[in-house]
Amino acid sequence: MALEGNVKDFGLSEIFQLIALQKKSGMLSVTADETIAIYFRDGQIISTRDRRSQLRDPLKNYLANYGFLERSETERIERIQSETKMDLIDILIREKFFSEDELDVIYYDQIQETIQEILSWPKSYYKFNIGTQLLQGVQSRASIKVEGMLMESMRRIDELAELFRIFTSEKMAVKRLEMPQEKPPKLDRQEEFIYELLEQDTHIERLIETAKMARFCTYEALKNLLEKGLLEITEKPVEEKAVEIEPKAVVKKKHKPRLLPSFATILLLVAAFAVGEYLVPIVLPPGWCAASMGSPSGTTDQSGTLLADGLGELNLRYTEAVLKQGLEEHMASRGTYPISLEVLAAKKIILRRTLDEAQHQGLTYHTTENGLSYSLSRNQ
Amino acid sequence: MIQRCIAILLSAGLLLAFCTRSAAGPVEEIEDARVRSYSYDQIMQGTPALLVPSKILYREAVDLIEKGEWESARQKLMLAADLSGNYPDPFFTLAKNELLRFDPNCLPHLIEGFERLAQNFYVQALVGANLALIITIAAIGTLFLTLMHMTLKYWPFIEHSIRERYSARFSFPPASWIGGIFLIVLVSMRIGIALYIMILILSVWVSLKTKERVVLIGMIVFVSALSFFAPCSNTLAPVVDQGSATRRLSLINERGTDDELFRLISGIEDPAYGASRDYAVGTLLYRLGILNEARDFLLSSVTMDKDFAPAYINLGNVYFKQEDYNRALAGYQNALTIDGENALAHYNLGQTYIEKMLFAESSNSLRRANELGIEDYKTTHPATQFRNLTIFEEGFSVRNLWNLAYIEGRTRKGVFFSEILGPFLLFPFHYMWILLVLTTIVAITIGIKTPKAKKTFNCENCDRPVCGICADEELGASLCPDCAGVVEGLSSVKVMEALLRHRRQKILKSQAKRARRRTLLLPGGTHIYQGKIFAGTFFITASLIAVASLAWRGFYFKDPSSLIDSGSIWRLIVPVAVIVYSYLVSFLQKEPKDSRPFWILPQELRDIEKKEHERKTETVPKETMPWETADVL
Repeated sequence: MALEGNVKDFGLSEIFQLIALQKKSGMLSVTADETIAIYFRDGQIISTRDRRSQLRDPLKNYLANYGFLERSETERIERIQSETKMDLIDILIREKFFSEDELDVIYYDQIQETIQEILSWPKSYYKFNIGTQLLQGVQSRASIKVEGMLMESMRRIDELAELFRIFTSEKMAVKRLEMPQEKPPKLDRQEEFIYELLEQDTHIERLIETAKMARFCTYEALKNLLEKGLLEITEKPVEEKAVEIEPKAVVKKKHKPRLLPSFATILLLVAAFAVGEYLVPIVLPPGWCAASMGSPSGTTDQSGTLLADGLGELNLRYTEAVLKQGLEEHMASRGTYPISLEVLAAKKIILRRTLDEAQHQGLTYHTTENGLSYSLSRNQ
Repeated sequence: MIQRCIAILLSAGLLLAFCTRSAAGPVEEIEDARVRSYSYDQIMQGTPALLVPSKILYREAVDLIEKGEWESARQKLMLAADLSGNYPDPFFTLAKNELLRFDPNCLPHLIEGFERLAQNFYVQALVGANLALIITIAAIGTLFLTLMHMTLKYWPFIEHSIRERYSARFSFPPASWIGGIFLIVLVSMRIGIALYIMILILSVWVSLKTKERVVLIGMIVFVSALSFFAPCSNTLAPVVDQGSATRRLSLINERGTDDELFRLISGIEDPAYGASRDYAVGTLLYRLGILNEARDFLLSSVTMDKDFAPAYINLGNVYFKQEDYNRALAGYQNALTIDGENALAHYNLGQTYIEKMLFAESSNSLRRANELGIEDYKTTHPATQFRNLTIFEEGFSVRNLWNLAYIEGRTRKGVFFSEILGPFLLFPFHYMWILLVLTTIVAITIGIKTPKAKKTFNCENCDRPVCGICADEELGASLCPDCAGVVEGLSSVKVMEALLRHRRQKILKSQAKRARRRTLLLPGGTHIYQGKIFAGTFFITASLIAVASLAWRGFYFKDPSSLIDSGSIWRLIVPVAVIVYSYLVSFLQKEPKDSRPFWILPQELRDIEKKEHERKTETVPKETMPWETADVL
């Protein structure tokens, strides 16, 4: 059975608390402009990544948006994912992008930011599907208590408004101030990191992209630095630095000849045809040249013997033998030889094919008037 | 006294049995008066068998079978079989129709048909010639087509080698065109199957697997052996040549004496056949009763060839007819001195003893003739029975005729099978063995001498061709540049394996599709592509024989007197069925399971990664994570 509704009627935080209180397992999908799935096990959040990989992967976005991975690394991971269907976490660990501990922290921060994001959606529709079977295939690296997560998210949502009031635009530039020599203010790890980054870049948008922490954390660190007098806001939006594109070193391709091989190829084809048409019939008779197609095969000099001169003569002798057999049969059954060979074919004594061959081979048949003798001669 | 009376009665009975002139028998059963009259004429001319009347009856029987009048047809077929001693067709037709009617006589008739087939020299020779030719053509064709299939299979390898060498120097025409250009060049040259075989062997040898090489060598050896013995085919030429001396002489076994036969035999002028010619002429004259001239020719024959037993027998017959029994005895005894197992000589000798009233000797000779199969002679020469002969004449034995064919074949200038195959091979078949042996030696040498770096082999992952120059062996497996590119920069063996596997599946699938299209061109191609070389060659051979059978409408060498050739539908159905079946088997041939191991990369790499992972999980102490304290917040 599913629990579903609109955040206007029943707030998401209440839903979270209800799930936590009831220690339910299942999937809560929250839909606004996009859909995010949150997985619970025994009332604790274990993942915000869709197990079927059909929705946007918040972890991948988190890693890509906050400078954990470079563009080329993201593309490579995406390629590996698409080809191997391996999970992102598996790839990150196996390919040693992060240690397991680093990834655990990132994983927690990403869930925190995702929860904060969906809680800040003014309109959304939610649906909670109960059942541990829904958790099959969910890769989780944490089991986070809802209460703490909710409190922190609410705090961030509240403070973010104040932060946006200070830093009105991400296009704004900030300037790092020198650390006072006497009584330097104490900086936490995140503040220290942002302060160092400010040495290279003063653009808030770029700071967020490279800070390797959640957007809120970057803003919070900037605010703290501002309060500690280590930062000042430059009102002017920073002009976009024209990215200097280094002219590509023109690799001078080694020029490979084209004309000569093309000409040689044409020549080769013509020569091959000429060889087949003229040379082969001379060297390897009879050859398969167009001129001799269908002509009878060559003869063999058998002078002095009774053997046939070649296969043509052999076939002719065969046809003669068939005709003589047929004529003899006609004589036996009719008492005379037939007027023409057509009669033999008509009476099915010989095949029509044999008759055609006889005509093709130039055999002519004559019978005497009384039909008691015949002659079968060859046309010269 | 009583004993003497019994002996006289028995002798008289025996004399009566052997000397009584019986009726013409089966000839009387011929309904058509003209055919009957023709048969009597033939008998008078001394024909050993009534082939023409037999064929007429056979044709009438076939017509009756078509009309459904089986009983009448059966009688005619039996009569046709009786009239001709070695004409097998009536028995085959009887057997076929009896089989269709579940008549148990079909088996004895089939056996009888085959027996006649074996006894008939001309049929024997035709079967031998056709068999030898079909084996030769099938062997050459199978070798050629197998090589073509192997070339198709290993074409990517050959193309890879060409590309590696060509693309380094030229950019146009593109390397992918080169294979096609070579193909057009080869086809344009039309150099004949023999030289194509040579080129294919040289092209494909280096890429072949051991099993394929063994089969190919076997086929080359077989074709070479056929080529080496091709001059023997000259022995078959005089047999199938209707005008040869052998064929002319053999006609005295089939026909009676007529002008044409006399002219044909007299036309043999070569002294090599002098004894046989004179013997044949003497026999023909003897049949006509021209005894003095017959005697002269037969004497001439035995003068020329003193070991020619049949001439002595027929000479003895001439003397017998002239009632010169002593000389007749001498003739038969001479024949028996040369060939002691000659049933006819014993029989005629027995008859001569009877004439000389030497009954004991006669009895011995006749018994011996009976033992040696005189009855077989009577069966194969039925017309001799119709003539009520006391003594029988000898024709040419099958052995004699084969000897004649051998002698005549040796006089041929060319080689018979080389002439038949010449238009296709464009190379003398009897020298093809030299070409094949040299080609094989060159191919083996190339295979040995080619450096490993230049040898093309399969990528261990995707099976694409790869050579020593372009192979990537950094990961301990020979991978093609594309496969190596897929795993470049990665460190996890599991990820690499997964990527390689994905690529392998994609490539093999597309390769299999392409291969299927290519290999369905001819039957047997799919089998050869899948490495089932024996099955592949079998289907190629079967299809080739079927195609040859269709092209020749049966056999290459045909029997002019055979009616079976006259358009049996099975001559069409059987070859077409074989071709269709071969295609069907190729089409239904399933793709074999990929025998490659699941893991491509070496085990050592995986072991290292596994150990590293285990070490990490053991040694790294677990940190306290933020969510573990989250509830505190």
